[in-house]
Amino acid sequence: MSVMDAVRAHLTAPINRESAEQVMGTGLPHAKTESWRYSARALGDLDFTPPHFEGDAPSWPAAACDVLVAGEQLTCLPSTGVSVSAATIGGELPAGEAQSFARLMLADGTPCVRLRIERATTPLRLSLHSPHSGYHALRLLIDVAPGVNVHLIEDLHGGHPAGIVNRWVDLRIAAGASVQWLRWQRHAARSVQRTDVALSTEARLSYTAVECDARFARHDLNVRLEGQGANAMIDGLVVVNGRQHHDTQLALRHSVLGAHSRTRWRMIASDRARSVFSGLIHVAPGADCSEAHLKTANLLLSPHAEIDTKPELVIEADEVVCSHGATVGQLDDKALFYLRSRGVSEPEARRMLTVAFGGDVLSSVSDVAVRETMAAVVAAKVAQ
Amino acid sequence: MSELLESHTSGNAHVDELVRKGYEHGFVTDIETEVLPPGLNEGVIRAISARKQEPAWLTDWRLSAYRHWLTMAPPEWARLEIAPIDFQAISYFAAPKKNLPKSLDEVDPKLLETFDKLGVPLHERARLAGVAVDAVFDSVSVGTTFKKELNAAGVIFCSFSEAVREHPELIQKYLGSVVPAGDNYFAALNSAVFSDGSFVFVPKGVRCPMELSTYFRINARDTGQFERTLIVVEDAGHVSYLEGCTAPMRDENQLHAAVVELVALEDAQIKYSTVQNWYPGDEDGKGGIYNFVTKRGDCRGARSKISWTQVETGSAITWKYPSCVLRGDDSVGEFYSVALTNHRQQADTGTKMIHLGARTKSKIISKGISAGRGQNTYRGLVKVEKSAVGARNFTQCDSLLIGKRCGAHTFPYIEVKQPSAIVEHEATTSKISDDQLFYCLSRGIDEENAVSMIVDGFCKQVFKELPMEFAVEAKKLLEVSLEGAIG
Repeated sequence: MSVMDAVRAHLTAPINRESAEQVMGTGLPHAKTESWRYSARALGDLDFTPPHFEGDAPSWPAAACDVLVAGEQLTCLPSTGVSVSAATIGGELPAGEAQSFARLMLADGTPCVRLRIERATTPLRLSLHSPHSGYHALRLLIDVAPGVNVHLIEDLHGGHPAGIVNRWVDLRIAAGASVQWLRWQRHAARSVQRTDVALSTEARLSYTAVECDARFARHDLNVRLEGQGANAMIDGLVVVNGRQHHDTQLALRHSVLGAHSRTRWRMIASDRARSVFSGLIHVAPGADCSEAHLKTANLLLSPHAEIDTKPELVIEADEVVCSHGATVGQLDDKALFYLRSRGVSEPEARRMLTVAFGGDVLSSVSDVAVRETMAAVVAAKVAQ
Repeated sequence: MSELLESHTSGNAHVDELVRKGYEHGFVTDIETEVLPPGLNEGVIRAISARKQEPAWLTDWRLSAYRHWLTMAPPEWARLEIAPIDFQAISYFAAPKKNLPKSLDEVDPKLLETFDKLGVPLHERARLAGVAVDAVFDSVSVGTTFKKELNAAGVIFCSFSEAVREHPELIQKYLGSVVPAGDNYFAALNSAVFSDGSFVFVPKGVRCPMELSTYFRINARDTGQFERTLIVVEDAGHVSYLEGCTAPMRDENQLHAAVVELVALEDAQIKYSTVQNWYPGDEDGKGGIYNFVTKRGDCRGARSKISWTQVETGSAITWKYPSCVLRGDDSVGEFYSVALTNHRQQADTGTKMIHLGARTKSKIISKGISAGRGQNTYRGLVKVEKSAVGARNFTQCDSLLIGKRCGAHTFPYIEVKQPSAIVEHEATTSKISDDQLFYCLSRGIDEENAVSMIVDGFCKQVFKELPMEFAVEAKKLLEVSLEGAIG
């Protein structure tokens, strides 16, 4: 079943079928859609069971609240400091194929769940699970109250290999609040995901993503620094093999004075996998004294794999310090030689160096147990 | 420190004056010109071709390019705001009205005066400078110096029209082999209506005894310039080619759509340097040249090398991506660029390095300077195909912001399919450092000179790649365009 077929099947009885069909009338993204240039073909071309690696369940830190989202169902385990309500999300999205999945949600009236976090002393776990084949949509809005520090763990797991997940999460971080967001993508379903984060004055975001599974995953991560002194730290590690296709489109938008951002993104691709990362830093007029740095380093481990990366800078303000860097290469021969001269076999030496390459990103995971579980998963994946 | 800076910047009338300084190449030469009426259709293309007494195959080639162009839409992906261009309002052929001169002595003295004003070393100066010049005035090449010396070495350097007459087999073999007629919107337009340009052929084993140079000038009103340059260097040959451009000040926008094709065979080396100083329009963005150029080099042979160096200070709009197709094993591509946008100029420029051969290397150094309301974009592609075992790329893009209303943007595309390749890209954007400026001021250097020194230092990596006389001109151009933009 193609993505289009699955969406059509879902549209047999949507809330607002007419407008949804109108949206789909503009079509899915195609190779000429700039932000989909590397992924449009893969999206339209998915029809076999992807390699699926579930891995060990990590020993998550004791959670005050588990939000379980399975398909369109959401359950929230009782907790203090978190309120759950239904919300209506409207709003206009720019026209064009690039936004067709998000606009599909608006048009067909995907129910939106709103979490308001007033207080959080222990981590909050978002467990996103999509058990069915076919299309399903997840729409979540998270509000973090002023001054609250919250540790958010998003666990995308399970998933039907023939499923198509359309996920859209909004995170609004109020003044002085701080969010530490750990995102683990280990589900099998194909997914088109979108995350919009807005940071108010002095708000902080520390985001770490580890992505290993799914035959096809596309994620648009939009971070808006809207308050003075806002700070965003983005880390990502993508490990793909087989015929996996992962594409992350990060946009960091500085719109006020003196916000800071720092991004580290690492990708490891082997077999026939393709990994894509586009990282835009946009400093809007008036966002003087912004500082933004982005670095993406990538390992290409097979002659049939491909890495495409596009770090972008759009600077329209003064007194700005911005930089980006990108590298694509393979393991360092000298380091390999050193390990082999110490009696380490070549496959083992390669595995060690590859895991160490990802270690930079994993080091930003504060919880030791979680970090170690993730490192083990990455190591197992690398050894495949 | 900031107070000190303010006191320096606010009262700097001299610097302001420099910023407002006009475009010194903005004069119009009053000579009789033969112009085709505005408009574009197959008849116009046949007329251009007939006037140039071209063979039938070339007329057909032009017509097929035109038919293809009709099916294309102007590119919209560049970060440029371009008012719609009325291609029917442009005259596609303008020539100084006299029979084509047979030697420099027959060239209209007024024309020579123009080149004199421009500082083109065409006559005696050419000898002193040791530079062979082909000057293209509106649509026609008006004179090529040093022909004898070049002939003795076996180098062909002549106008494109002459090459079509004298060396049709070479033109037929190589024309469109790097930039096909339908490559992109502006290349297709150029292929249909190109009027003249330069042709260089360096035979096997020859090192061109002097630097070759072309000067382009748009003089007539409502005309576009569509020149075509083709440089072919055979095995182990070597050539260094310089290109300069100016235009008079006019209120309306004028179109320049050129194509440059370079072919480097085994062990051949081509160095192509440009100082582009087309009229940039006035402070409010009125007038100026629309500069849409397709430049591409093909390193066909093993160990060949193509090096692009450009200093882009002029034009209202610059749309230009000199590229290298690194086909031969161990071939090398280089791109050095300084692009300056002041007032309301817009530049979207960069390069493409396509690695196909084994152990191919490329290096990209791009320096963008934005002042006033200028918008400066670097757009580049580094593509490493599966066959490019051991390929290597290094890219560095730095942007300097001067003022609050300008923009500096970087869009590098990196696509790697070969695991043994190493690709590195780094980019920075910053303003002129207060510390650097303060240091210079505290040493008694006035602000004007301090900024000039800092910008010069910023661009040094590129300037050192330019032939000396061009480096001097480029430095002077930047000083005129930039100094005092701070504050």
